[in-house]
Amino acid sequence: MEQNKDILDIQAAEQSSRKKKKFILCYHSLTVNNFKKASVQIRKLAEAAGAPISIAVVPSIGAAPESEAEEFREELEKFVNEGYEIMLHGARHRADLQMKRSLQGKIVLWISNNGAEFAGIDERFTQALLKRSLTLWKANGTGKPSGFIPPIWFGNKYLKQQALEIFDYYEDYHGIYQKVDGKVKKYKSDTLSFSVYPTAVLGILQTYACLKMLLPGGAHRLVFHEKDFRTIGEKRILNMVRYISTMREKIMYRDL
Amino acid sequence: MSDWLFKSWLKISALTAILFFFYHLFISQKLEEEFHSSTNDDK
Repeated sequence: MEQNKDILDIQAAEQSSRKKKKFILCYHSLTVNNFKKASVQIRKLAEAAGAPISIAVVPSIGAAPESEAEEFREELEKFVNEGYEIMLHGARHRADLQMKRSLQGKIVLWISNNGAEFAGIDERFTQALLKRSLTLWKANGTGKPSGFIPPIWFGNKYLKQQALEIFDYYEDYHGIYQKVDGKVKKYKSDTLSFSVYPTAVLGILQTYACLKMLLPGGAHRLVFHEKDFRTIGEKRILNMVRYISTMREKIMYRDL
Repeated sequence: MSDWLFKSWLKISALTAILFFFYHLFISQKLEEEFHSSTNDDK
C-alpha cells in the first residue's frame, strides 16, 4: 500500500515536471484539394498525441466542384465540433501576382514558389487580403479561428499588428505573438517543420526536433504537412509524436 | 589565451558531435519501432 503511494507520488512529480515543458502540434495547409487524405492524417496525429491538435486551414474553395466544397465544409465543422483548434493559414496560400510588392517580397515569392501570399505587399492590400481570408473562412468554416499563420510564415511589416487586431494569436517562424493589454507579447517558440528540406537531411532534422523537445525552454511548434507523410513516412511521424508526447505536454495555441 | 580558447572550442564541438551522433542512433531506432496499442486482446 505504502509502495503504491510512493509510485503515485513519483508519477505525480514526473507529470508535473513534464507539464512545465509544452509543445504545439499543428498540421499545416488543410485545403479543399487535400482534405480527404489530410483528415485521415490529422486524426492519426491526434490519436498518437492523445488529444485533438491544431490545424492551419486554407479557406479558399477556388474552382473545386460544389460537392467537394460541401464535403470540405462538413469536415471542417466536424473538426471544430471534435475540439480541434483552427488557425487561419492565408486566403489561398498562393500569391496574387498582379499585386504590387517590394523587392524583398518578390524575392520571397521566387524562393517560395509563389506561396507566400502576404510577402512585400503594402498596408492596404494586407488589410484587404486578411479580410478576404476571414470572409472565406466565414463562408466555409464554423466558429472563430484562434489565430493567423501567414503562408510560409512570411508576412510583412503590417501583418502582425493587423492580424492581432482580429485574432488572438499570430505566429512567424521565430515565435508566437498575442496582444495583452494593448502590448504585443511574444512567446518563445521554435518551428520544427520538415516540408521544405531535401529528403537527404530529414533524418538529422527529426533527431534535431526530438533533441530540441528534450531540452528545456519554449513552447515549440511541431509542424507536419501532407507531403511529410510521403517523405518521412507515417510510422516515423507517429512515433515522433508519441516520443515527444512523453517529454512534453501537448497544448494548443489557446492554452498558451 | 586564444590557443586555449580554440582547443576548448574544438573539444566541446567534438563532444557535442559525438553525443548528437549517439542520440541520432537512438532516435532512428525509436522512430522505427513498431507501435502496439493496448487492446482488450492484450489482457
